[in-house]
Amino acid sequence: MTATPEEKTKILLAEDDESLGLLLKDFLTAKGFEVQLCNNGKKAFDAFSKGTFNLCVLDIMMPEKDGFTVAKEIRILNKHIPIIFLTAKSMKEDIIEGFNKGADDYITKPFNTEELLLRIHAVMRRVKPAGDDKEEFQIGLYHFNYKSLALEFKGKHEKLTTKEAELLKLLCIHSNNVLDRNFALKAIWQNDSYFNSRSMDVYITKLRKYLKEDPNVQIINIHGKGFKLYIEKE
Amino acid sequence: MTHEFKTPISTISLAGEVLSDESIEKTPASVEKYLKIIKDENKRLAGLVENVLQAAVLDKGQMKFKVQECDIHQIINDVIQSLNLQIQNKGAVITTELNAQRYSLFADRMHLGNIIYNLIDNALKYSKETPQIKISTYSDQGGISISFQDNGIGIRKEDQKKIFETFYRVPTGNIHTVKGFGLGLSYVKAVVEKHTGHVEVESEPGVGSTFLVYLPFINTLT
Repeated sequence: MTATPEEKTKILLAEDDESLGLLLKDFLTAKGFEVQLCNNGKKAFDAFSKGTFNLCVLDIMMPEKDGFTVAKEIRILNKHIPIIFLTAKSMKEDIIEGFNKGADDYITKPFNTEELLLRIHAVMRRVKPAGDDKEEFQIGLYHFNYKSLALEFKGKHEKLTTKEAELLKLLCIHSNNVLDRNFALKAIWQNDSYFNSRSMDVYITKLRKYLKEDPNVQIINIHGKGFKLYIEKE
Repeated sequence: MTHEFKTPISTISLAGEVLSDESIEKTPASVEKYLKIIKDENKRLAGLVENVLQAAVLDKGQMKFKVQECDIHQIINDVIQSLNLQIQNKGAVITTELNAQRYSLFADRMHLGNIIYNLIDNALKYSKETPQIKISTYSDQGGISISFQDNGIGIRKEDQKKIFETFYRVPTGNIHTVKGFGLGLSYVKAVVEKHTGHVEVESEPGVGSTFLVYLPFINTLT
């Protein structure tokens, strides 16, 4: 899930050394991240299963469950969440195993904090889908500003909720193409449960209502797939 | 072994960077907390360096011994006393059956104290939820035997000889529960052998281990 402008990037941090874990948590929190610290691999995986995170930073040598196993299990649940190993294991074969287990980056201890931050930001940039940085969209006669949650039509402004803006942005990024229902649910609601699916339908109805003034703009249901924001070219 | 060094180095380095980073807000309490971490980790690092240096001394056979008359039962009781906090934290039960009729010998008190400490500490660390540790002594004409019996995780047959080798640690993959780098038992063996004694282990995985130390009353140090 990509963080919205209002949300902090949430990091799952697994580190068994008490002092290092505490310092890393304080440091990353001070740098604007929201951090959940777990002191063993089992707790880290349990936290991942129950919570919502944007990034995982995992030690490898830990009690109960090692970082490689945690990463492997996380990848079964979520193929896209970025995983960074932060570990004392610096042998070539460890690094290769780390990437084979689904890591996006591998940092060895002792590390430099500036490098750690740069690598976190680099990984987070890579994980954003194409067009994700774009904040303004032209939808037929409508102008949509994602950052200010504003939808404008001929001088008339509609203030959107965060979720409405998130969903409309995803539709815009995929305009004239199918936006996969499950992808949108996981990206905005974090899971594709039945309840969330019905909730998304309500948001689609609301967006259709906002966009009804321009006959060249439509949100079309694609049965069994998802939705398409269709913008007829003039 | 590198893991044991790299973690405190990383922690000290990170604490220093956090303290000097002006963009991170700090309170007197947080500064105190970071300084304490630096002090504690520095102490931990110094202990690790000391262990490695001691291993080098052991390896070269240059360990120094100060021989005096030692009361083994007194040393056992003193060590148990010094481990009181770890015993309480683990909820361990330690029983003693100090049956040796003769329990005094000429030896190095500090080193004997250290090996008894290492063996009880290992029994506490490599244990299940509630460690049950029994320490017994008995003597014969030639010397005194000290037995350390635990109900811990046990040691596989193939590892039982290797555990006395310097830097050997029983492989656990990447599961890292007990810190250390495999010097404690090699130290125990070296000290016992310097006292013309021997140490052996009997163990069954999942059941427990018994370490037996035999120290003759007459040794090469005297």
